[in-house]
Amino acid sequence: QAVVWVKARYDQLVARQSTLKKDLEQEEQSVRLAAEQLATAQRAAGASRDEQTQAVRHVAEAEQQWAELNQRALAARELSLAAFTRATEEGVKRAFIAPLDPLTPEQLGWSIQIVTGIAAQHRAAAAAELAKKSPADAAATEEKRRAFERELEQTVYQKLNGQVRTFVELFGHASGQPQRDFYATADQALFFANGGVLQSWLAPNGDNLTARLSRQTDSSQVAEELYLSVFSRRPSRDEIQAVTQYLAGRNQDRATALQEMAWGLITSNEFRFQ
Amino acid sequence: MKCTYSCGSPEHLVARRQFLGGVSAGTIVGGLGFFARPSSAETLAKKQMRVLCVNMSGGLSQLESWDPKPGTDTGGPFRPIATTVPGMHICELLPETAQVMHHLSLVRSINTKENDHGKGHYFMFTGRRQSPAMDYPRLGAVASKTLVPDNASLPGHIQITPGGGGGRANDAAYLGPKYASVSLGNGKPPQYSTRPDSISEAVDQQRNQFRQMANDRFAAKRRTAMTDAYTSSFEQAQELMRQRDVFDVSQEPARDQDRYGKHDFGRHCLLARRLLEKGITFVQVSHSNYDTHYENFDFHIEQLGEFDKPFATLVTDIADRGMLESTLIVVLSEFGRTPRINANYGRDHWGTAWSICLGGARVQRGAIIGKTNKNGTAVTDREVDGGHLFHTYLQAVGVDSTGNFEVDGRDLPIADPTVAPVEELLA
Repeated sequence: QAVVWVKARYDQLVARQSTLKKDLEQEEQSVRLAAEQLATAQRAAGASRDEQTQAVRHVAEAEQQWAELNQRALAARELSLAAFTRATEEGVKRAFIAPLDPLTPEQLGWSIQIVTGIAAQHRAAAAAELAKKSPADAAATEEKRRAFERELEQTVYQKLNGQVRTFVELFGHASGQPQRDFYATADQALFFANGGVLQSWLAPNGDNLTARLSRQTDSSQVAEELYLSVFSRRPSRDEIQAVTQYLAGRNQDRATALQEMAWGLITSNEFRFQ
Repeated sequence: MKCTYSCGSPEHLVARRQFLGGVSAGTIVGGLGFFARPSSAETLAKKQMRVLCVNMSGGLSQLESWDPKPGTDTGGPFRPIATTVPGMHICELLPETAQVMHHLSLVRSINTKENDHGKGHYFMFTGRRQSPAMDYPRLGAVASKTLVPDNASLPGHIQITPGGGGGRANDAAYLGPKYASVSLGNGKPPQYSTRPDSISEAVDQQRNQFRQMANDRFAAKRRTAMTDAYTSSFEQAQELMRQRDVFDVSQEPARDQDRYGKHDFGRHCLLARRLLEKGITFVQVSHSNYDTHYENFDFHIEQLGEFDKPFATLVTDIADRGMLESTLIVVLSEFGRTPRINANYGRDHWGTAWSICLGGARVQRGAIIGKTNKNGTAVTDREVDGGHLFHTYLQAVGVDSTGNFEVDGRDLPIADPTVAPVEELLA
C-alpha cells in the first residue's frame, strides 16, 4: 500500500516535471523570439539614424544652394534695376519719352477707384447680386456667359460713375469751354486732402488696398503690393527702403501709416500724369 | 528764360511757353497767357484794388431807393429825404444810407432794355448781352484775373450766398476755373477747407511728406510746368487751410457784430468787410428778394429796412479804415421796377429807366449821373447800359477796360469794345 502511494506520487512528480519542462521550452522559445525581435529593431533603428543623418546633410546642402541662388537672383535684380534706371535716364536725356499727359477727370476718378480696390468690391457685389437673380446664367453657355459679363460691366460702370461726377466737377473745365488745358487749383487739393470720398476709399475695408496691405507683415512685401497696385510697376530699391523706414516706428498705428502712404502715392505727380 | 526741366537740351533753353515773369505756380498751363499789355500788371502791383458788389436780387425799385419821384402818379407813398450830398435825395426808406452818400454816387439813367431776370443779371455782371454764341466771364472773374497776383493763396472771387454754397460756380467762362467764384454758403468756409476729425495734423504732415518724397523721385526725371502747378496746388491748399480764420465772421469783435446786426445780411456784410480787409479782391454779397410784383411798398419797407443799416455801416467802416480809395462799391440789381403800380400794389420788371449806386476807388464822390423824366418812365439824359457800367467798374479799379485777354492764342476784349466807360463818373 505504501508502495502504491509512493508510485502514485512518483507519477505525479514525473508529470509535473514534464509540464514544467514544456513550459520552460515555451519560455525559452519566447525569449529567443524576443531576442530576435530586439535584434531586428536595433538594426532598423540604426538604419533610420543613418537615413536621418543623410537627410540632414541633404537639407544643409539644399539650403546652401538656395542661399546661393537667392544671392544670384538679388544680384541679377540689382543689375536689371540699374540697367533700367540707366536706360530711362539716357532716354530722358534724349527726350525719347512721351510727353506727360494729365489724366482726364473721368480717368482720374476711375483710376482712383480701381487702385483702391473699390472697383473690385463693387464688381464682386454686383456679380453676387446678378448670380442670385439669375443663377443659371452664370455658368451656362458661352452666349449666356457673355450676356452676364455685359450686364455685370453695366452695373459696375453705373455704380462707379456716381463718384466720378465729383471728379468731373472739380477737375474739368466749365461746361461749354475747351477741356484741353491742365490746371490745378487749391480746391482740388483740398478735395484730396479733406474730402470724405477719398478717405472712405482708403479706409481698410474688406479686400481693398489698405486691407490687403495690412495683411502683409514684411515691409518689402507691403512696398511691392503698394507700388504694383498704384503704379503697376515694381518699387525700386530706394522706394522699398523708404517704405520700410516709414513703417519702422509705426507698429501701433500701422493701419494709419498704410493709409498715409497710399494717399501720398495717389496724390503724387506720377499718378496724376501718365 | 532758362528751362530747368527734363532734358536740359538746347531746344528747351528757348522759351516755348509764355509765363508771366518765370514759372507761375498754380496757373493754367498751355492756354492763357498774360495781358496783351503787360505793363498794366506793374501798375496794378502798386496797390491792391478791391471790389465789393452788393447784388439786390430780384430787381430793386429805383423809385423806392435811388430815384424817388414824389408827388407824381408813379411815385408811391414814400417821401424823399436829404442826404449828406447837397441836392441829392433818396427814398426815406434808406435813412442810414443817406448819411453815407457823400462817399457814393448814383447813376440814374440806365436803360438795359432787358426785363428778364436771367438776361438782366447776365448783362449787368458781364457787360454783354446774353447770347448762345459765347459765354463771357462775370465781373468777379475779370476782377480777380486782372487784380490778383498769380501766387495768391486765398481765392480772389468770393460770393457770400444766403445758403447752399460749396462747389465751384460756372462764372469764369474762358478765363478758366481758377477765377470762378468760391461760394461761402451763409458765411461758412469754402468747401473741403475743414480737416475732418479722422485726420490729425500729424497724419496730414506725414502723408504730405511721403507724397513729396514720391514727387521728388519722379521730378528727378520728369519735371514739367504741369507737375509744378500740381505740386504747388497742394501748397496753396495748405496755405488756405492755415488762413481759414479769414472766413470766420465770429472772430470779429462783438461790438461790430452788434453794429451790423445778427441777421443774415448783417453778418454777411461784416464778413465782406473782413474779407476785404484781408485782401480778397472781389466780394459779392446778395440780398433778396426785391422782386415785388405784389405789395411792393410793404416789401420794400422790410427789405430796405434790413439792407439799410448794415450797408451804411459797411460803407462807413470801409471809409474809416482808409479802404475807400482802393475799394469799389457797387450796389446793383437786374433791373428796376415799373413806374406804373399794378393792381396788386406791386411794380413789375423795368429795364428802361432805372438806377444803381456805386462809389469808392476812382469813382467821383457824391455825383449824380443822368436823369429820368418827371415820373420816371424814360431816361432824358446820358443813357447808359450794362456795357458802359462794366467798363466803368473796371476803369474805377485801374484796369484798362479797352485791353484784351489772350485766350488760346486769340485776343478777347475784356469788356464790350463797342461802348465806352462813363467818363463823367471817374475822377
